[in-house]
Amino acid sequence: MAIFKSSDDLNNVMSMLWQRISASPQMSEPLCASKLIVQFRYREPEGLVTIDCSDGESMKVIIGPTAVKPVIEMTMKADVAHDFWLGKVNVPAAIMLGKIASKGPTPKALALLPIIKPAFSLYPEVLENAGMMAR
Amino acid sequence: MLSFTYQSPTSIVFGEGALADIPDLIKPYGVSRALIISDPYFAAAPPVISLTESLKEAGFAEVLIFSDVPADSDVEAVEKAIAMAKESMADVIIAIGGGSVIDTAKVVNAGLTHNCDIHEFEGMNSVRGPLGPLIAVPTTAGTGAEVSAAAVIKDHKADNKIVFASRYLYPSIAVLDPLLTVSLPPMLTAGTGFDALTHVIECYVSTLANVVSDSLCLEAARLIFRALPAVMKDGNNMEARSQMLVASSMAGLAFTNAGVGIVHALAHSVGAKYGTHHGLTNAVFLPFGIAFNMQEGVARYGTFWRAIASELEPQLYPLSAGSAGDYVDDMAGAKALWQAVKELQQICLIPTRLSQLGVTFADEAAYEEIALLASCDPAIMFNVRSADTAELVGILKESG
Repeated sequence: MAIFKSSDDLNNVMSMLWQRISASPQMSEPLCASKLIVQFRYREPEGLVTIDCSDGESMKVIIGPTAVKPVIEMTMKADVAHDFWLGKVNVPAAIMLGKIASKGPTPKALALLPIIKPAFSLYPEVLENAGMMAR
Repeated sequence: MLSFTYQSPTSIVFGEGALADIPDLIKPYGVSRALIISDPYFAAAPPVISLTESLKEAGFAEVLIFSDVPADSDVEAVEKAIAMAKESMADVIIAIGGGSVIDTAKVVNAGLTHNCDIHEFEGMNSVRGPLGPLIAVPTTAGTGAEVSAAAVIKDHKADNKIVFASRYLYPSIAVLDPLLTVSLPPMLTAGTGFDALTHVIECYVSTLANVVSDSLCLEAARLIFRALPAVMKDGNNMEARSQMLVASSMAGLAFTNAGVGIVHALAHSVGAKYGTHHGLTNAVFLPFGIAFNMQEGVARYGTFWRAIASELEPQLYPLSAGSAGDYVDDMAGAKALWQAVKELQQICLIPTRLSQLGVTFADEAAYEEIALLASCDPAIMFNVRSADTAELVGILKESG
C-alpha cells in the first residue's frame, strides 16, 4: 500500500522535511554552497519539489509547478522517496535498477548525500507531525 | 550475501559467419523493413552487402543502409539516421560496427519508436517504454555495447557527451561473428581490448558488484589476459579473436549491471574534450585508476588477482603471473594486477600517457574543466572510492 495517500500528503511531508533541512546550518550551508537546483518529480501520488540553491546563499524550497529550470531532475515513485528518507535506498543501485530516473549531472547530487544524512533521523518525526507513521 | 538484481534481456548468438543467420534470427519479429546502421568501411564491405541481399531474398520490402556514423557518434548523425528510418518506415534496426555505431542505433531506435527529440530521453531511465527490435553486430571486441543498456553520444553544441541509460535500450539480439573483427588494425584491437579489460577491472571493484557480475568479470579477464597478446601477435588467430569477442560481451553483461568507475569517468571527459579514442584513453588511465582505488579496493583486487594469476603465461607476464598462493596478501595481489596491466600495455605497444594521445593541458583551468566533467559523469557514481575535483586533477597530472 502506498505510504502517501494523496499529493497533498506528499507535498505536506516534503515541505515540512525541507523546512527542517533548511533550518539546519549543518545541512543547508553546504547545500547552498553547491549552487545546484535539484527537482524531485514524484509519482503515485504525483508531487513536485524544487530545491533552488542557485544564488549560493539561500535555499528556496518550491512545492509544485515552477518556472525555475532545474540542473538535475530526479523522478521516482513517492514510495521510493519515502524509503530514501528512511535511509533505506542505495541511490546508485536504485538508478541502475531503474527505480530512479535522473537527468543532468547526477553525481553532483549524489555527492550531497552525506550532507543530508542527518535528515534521515528527522524524517520519522516529520511523518509523525504530519499524522503518518514510518513503516 | 548482499541482495542484487541482474538483468540481461539480450539474446547472444556466437559463431564464425553468424552474420548470415540474421534473416532467420529476425523472422519471429515479423518485420519487413530494415535499416542497417554502419560505418563507411563496413557499409561497403562484402559482409554487409551480402546481408542486404539475403534480407531481400528473405522477402524484406526495404533494406536501407545508413553509413554516416562518425568514429565518435554525435547528435547530428543520430538525427539524420532517425529521419532516414522514419522516411523508410523501418521496423527493425541492424547495427553493424563498433561501439559508436551500436550506440547510435540504440538512440535512433528510441527516437524512432517514441517519435521524440532525443534530448527528451537523455540521462538515466528516461526512455518511456519498450522499443522496436534492434540487432547489434559488433565489429570490435571491447565496448560491450551489443549487450548493454547505455549509449554515449557527442553533443557538439553543448561540447559534451550525452549519456543515455535505460533498460529499454538493450539490443534484442547480439550477433557475435569473430570473422568481422579480423580486419581490425592492431592499435584498435589493443584499444578496444583495453576497453573490455577496463570494464572487468572497474566492474569487479564497483560498489554494485555482485556474485553474477563477479563471475563474468573473472572469466572475461582470464580470456583477455590470454587472448589479447595472441591477437596482437597474429590478427588472423580466429580462436583468440573469438575469445576477445566473447570476453567483451561478458564484460558488457557485467558492467551494465554493476557499473564501472573513475577510469571511465575520466576517459569519457577527456574523449569529449580532446576527441581521443575511448579504449586507448581507458588504457592510459587504467593503472592510475587502480592505484587511486588501491586502499579501498585492495581486498577485491587481491581476490581478483588470486583467481587470475595462474592463468597467465609467465613468459608474457614475468612480473605478475604466479599461483594463487603467491598472492595470499591482498596488497601483493593488487600490485600484481597493476603490474599485469602495465605488462599488457607493453605487449600491445599502446600509449601509456595522455601526451602520447595528443592531449596537452594548457593551464590549471584546463585540468579543472576535465575534472569537473569527470565528477559529473555517471560512471563515477559506482567507483569504490569517492573522488573530489582536486583528486581528479591529480590523476590527470600524473597521467599526462
